[in-house]
This record gives sequence, C-alpha cells and structure tokens, in this order.
Amino acid sequence: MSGAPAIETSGLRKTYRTRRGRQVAVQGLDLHVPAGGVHGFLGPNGSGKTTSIRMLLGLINADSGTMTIFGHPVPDDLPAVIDRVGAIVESPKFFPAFSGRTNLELLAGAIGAPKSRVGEVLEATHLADRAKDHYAAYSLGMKQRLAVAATLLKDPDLLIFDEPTNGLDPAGIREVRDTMRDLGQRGKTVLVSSHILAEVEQVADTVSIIGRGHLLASGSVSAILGSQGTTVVRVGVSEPDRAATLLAYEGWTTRREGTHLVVEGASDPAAVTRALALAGLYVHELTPVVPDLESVFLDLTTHEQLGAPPTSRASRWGGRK
Amino acid sequence: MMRLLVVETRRLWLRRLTWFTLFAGLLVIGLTGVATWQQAQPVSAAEQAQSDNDYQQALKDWQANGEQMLKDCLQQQAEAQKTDPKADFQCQAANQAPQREWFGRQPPSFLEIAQNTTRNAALTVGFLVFLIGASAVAAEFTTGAIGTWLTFEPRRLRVLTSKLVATGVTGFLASAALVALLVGTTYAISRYAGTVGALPSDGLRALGLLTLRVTAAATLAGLVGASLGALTRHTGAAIAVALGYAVAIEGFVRAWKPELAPFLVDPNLNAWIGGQSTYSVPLCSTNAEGFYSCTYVEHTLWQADGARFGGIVVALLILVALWAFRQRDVT
Repeated sequence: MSGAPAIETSGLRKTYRTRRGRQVAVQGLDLHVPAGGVHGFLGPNGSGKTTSIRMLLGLINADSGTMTIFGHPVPDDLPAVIDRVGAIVESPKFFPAFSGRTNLELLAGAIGAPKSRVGEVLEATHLADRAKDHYAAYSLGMKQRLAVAATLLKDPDLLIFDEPTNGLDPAGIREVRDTMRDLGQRGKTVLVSSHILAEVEQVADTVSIIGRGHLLASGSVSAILGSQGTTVVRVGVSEPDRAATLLAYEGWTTRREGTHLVVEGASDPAAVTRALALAGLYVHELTPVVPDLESVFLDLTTHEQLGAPPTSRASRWGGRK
Repeated sequence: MMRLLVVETRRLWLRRLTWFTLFAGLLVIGLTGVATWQQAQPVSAAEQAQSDNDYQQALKDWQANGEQMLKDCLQQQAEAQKTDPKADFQCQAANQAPQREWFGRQPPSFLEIAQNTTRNAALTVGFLVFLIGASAVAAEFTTGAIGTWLTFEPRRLRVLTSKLVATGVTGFLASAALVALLVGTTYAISRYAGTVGALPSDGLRALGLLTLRVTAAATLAGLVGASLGALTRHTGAAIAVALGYAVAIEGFVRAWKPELAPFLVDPNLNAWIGGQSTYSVPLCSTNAEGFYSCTYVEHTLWQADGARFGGIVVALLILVALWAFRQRDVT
C-alpha cells in the first residue's frame, strides 16, 4: 500500500432522515489527500466536512461511494489501518469524571500502548501538571490539548483534526499550528478541517474546499495563490471612472474599490499603465493583488450557495475539481 | 479482546456511580440488619409469661366452647352444601385444640431469616446492578466518549461485547459481594442474639444455592441494563424503559390475560429464585340459572422455566443491542 494516497473518496454520499424529509449532507464527494504534508479541508458550516470525517472513521455509515485510507478500503478494512490514524472529531469527548491521565490510560490500554507513552504525550501537550485533574475541570483549550495527546498515543501516520483550534488562546493556536506543521514536515499526513482560513493557509500544503457536500476545488495552496497574484492589480489613477471605461473597452474586467480600480485578468500590468498613459491618465499606484485563501474560499462557497458558477478566478484555481 | 475486557472492567470500577451504587447496597443491607436485629431477639421473660397466659386462656375457651363451635361449623357447612355440594369449611382443622407454639413470638433461626432476606433483596440487588450496567454503557453515548473509543477500536461488535462481558463480570462480583455481606450480617446478628438455631447441611446448601440464584439473576439484570443502555443511549431512558415495562406491560398483561404469565418477567423471576411460582387462570361460565361464576385453575412455573425464560430474554436483548450498535451511526 506504499505510495497510496492517505485518503481517497469517490462518489461519497450521506443523507440524514429529518422531519422535513431526507437531508443530503454529503453528495458525491471525491476527495484526494496525498500522503505526507498538511491538507486543509475547508467548507462552510453544514457543508459536510465533519460528516465526511465521521464516515472515514466508520462512525457513521455512507449511503454510497467508496473510501480508502492508505489504500485500505474503509470502513471494512478500518481495523487494519486504524493504528495509523489519530483523529479528533468535532469537539474532544472523554469521560468527564476521570482525570486526563486516566482517560489516556484507558485508551492506551485499548491499543496496548505502554503506560510510559501516556506520560510522554502529556508532556508533549503540556498537560503533565494537570494530568490528575478531572477532565470536566479542564478549560476548552486543555480539552483540545488532551484530544491531541490522545491522537499521539498511537504515533499515527495520518492525523485528522476537525476544528483543532476551537477554544484555544493565541498561544494554544500557535502550538497546534506548529504541531501540525512539524508533523507534516516529519512525513505524517495531517488532514485539518478548520474555519480559521488564515491558520490553514499558514500550514497547509494542499487544500480541498467543499460546499453543499461536494468538492468545489482542490490542489496545492502555493500554486493556486501564486497564479492568482499575477492576474489582479489594484490601480490608483486620476479620473477612475474614465479609466474604468477605457480599460473595459480594452477588454479588462474592472471594479471600483474606493478611489482605486481593481483590474482582473491583468497578466501584464505594464499593458494597463500603457493603455492609461496613452489616454492621458497617469497611474500613481499599481499594486498586484495576491488573493488569500479566505477570498478564494468565500468566492467559491458564496457562489455555491447562490447556485451560480464561481468567478473566473476561482474556476481557474487548483488542479482537481 | 482480552485487552478491551480488562480496560472496560477497570473503567467500570473507576466509575463513581459503581461505588455509589454499592454504597446504596450497603445502606439497604444496614436497614435489613436493623429489621433482622429486631426479629432475632430472644423471647424475654415478660413475653414468655404473657404468651403462657394467652395459651392457657385459649385452652380454657376451647374446652368450654370447642365442641359447640364445631357443631355450629358443621351445621353451616351442611347448609352451604345444599347449594354447593363441594362446600368445605374445614371445620375439624379450624376447631382443633390450641397448641402452645401458636402463642407468643418464636425468634426465627438464622437460616429462616437469611432465606427471607436474601429472597427479598433480589429485586434491590438486581436493580442496583442494572443501574451499574445501564449507566456505564449509556454514559459513553451521552458524553460522546464512544466516538473517541471507536477511533481506537473500530470493531463495534468487539467493543460492545467487551462492555457487556465487563458488566457481567462486575455485576456478578458486586452482587455476590452484596449478597454475601447480607447473609454474613444476618449470621452475625443471629449469633450475637443467640438465636442462630440449627444449621443442618441441607439447609445451608439451600441457602448457598439461593444466594447463587440471586447473584445470577442480578448479573443478568446488569446485562439487561447494559443492553438497554446501548439501545437507548441514555441512562434515564434505560431506567424508564425498564420501569415502564414492569409497571405498564407486566401489570397490564397480568390483569388482562393471566394465562400469559409464563411470558412475563415477574413470575419467572420468582420461579427462578424461589423454586416455583404459581399463577391462577380464571375459568368462568354462566350456569343454567343464569349465574355467572368463575373457578380459578392454579398453574405452576418451575425453576427450570424461570431459567429458560431469563436466558432467552437476555440473549435476545443482547443480540438486538449488538445488531443496533453495529448498524447505527455514532454522532
């Protein structure tokens, strides 16, 4: 199974029975997470991220479709691969009346991990001092760290973090970010589902964006953002209205942003300045606009919710779709 | 599997509710001990004098009026037999000479008290072990810890089987300890009061078997609790289902269709613990004169019937719980 992607799903579908009939949570999801590195799994609330993760982990049954983890079909072959997977699904869930250490000892006992491993992961997540306290007395951040500690008990090759920074303070967020980056650099695969896109952008090598239960875009973050940076420029010019008319006539798409113009499709910014100068309009500022993950995400998911196709920028984005 | 079983058993004994439940069991044993203490007290001189006096008085009454009372009884019986030839007022038995042992309190022996208290404690011990099982499994769903657990061991049948076996082991140990403590307390009190009485080997053997049957019934109650906990996913719901069944279904069926008693828990439980239990089925008809009358036919459920019924019900419940746990989503 070496060389197999960490996660691969095809035509994954899940519906829930509700009072209003059957609700589609995941609709034909094709997901490809390469082995090694950090993969961001993004989507608005209710887009099917957690449902997809639960299906991968065998917690809920898929209606149809196929899933593999490191080439093993799941859920049927999940027992063969579960030792290589550590996961936090939604919020951390442990026995509230037991201490953090007891909770971890029970889990370690279930997988035959030595007791010393519990101490190691408690140290690694800076929980050793509070290990004897009841889990119920933990802050949200400590609960989150205990969940991370639990995933590390197995020393897994694939870590699935569903909203891992929920409830963490800035230091905790940085810690989790560093942990994810470190794990990715060590050759582990980290699938991180988060709505804090700036966090994901900082650590993810690849991302998948889903909306309404299916894949909207997927690919390498750097390639996507890099290619976008050369096509949009922000122009400061006298008489912006006249400039907009002129540029539109020349075939560029423009929009006003205060006293500035945003010009899309400007693969050669010099051509913009030349066109304006020939018309006697002089540019006093020209800045390439580098899109961030958030703007791409919003562009894709907003259009998905409205039922319209995404803008040209988003549709050109990424490799797989 | 063994690893899971060890972890589940450890978890059960780490739970506060397990210890609270055992503490509740100790309280019940303490209260039973107070009642035992009162029963086991030897007869005082004043009580002895009073019962002697009562006996002498009753003997005098019988000598003076017994013959006449027997005649009256036989006369009333003859009158009754004119309409019902089978009428039997048991006149001879009702009018025999009073016996000394009928008067005054005789402190029961240790074996008598122990048999009664053990039989009476069966329901309490069973409920406590049911609570241990139901809460241990249901709490995993209410806290969501079962989801975390399944990311470590996704083989669901193994997971629930280990929980059920752990509940069975814990339930057996807990109920055995409680019943042993109950019997031990009873013996200590009887011994202190000096009213232990005879300890024939067959009596001790019967008591030993009774404690084993109560322990077995309580262990099954624990398994029922764990299965209902897995099915309802909430301790309160599991208790409500059990109590609702006992009150509504059993009560209703017994009143509506007494002939269905062999398929109810209560008579089978009594048969298992007590050796046998009886139930009556009315046979009603209207005679030629238009009188509607019923006669009751008594049926007996034997210990083997109770064992068979309990085994089948618990096995079915476990199978349903395993099937449901395997199929249902864990959210």
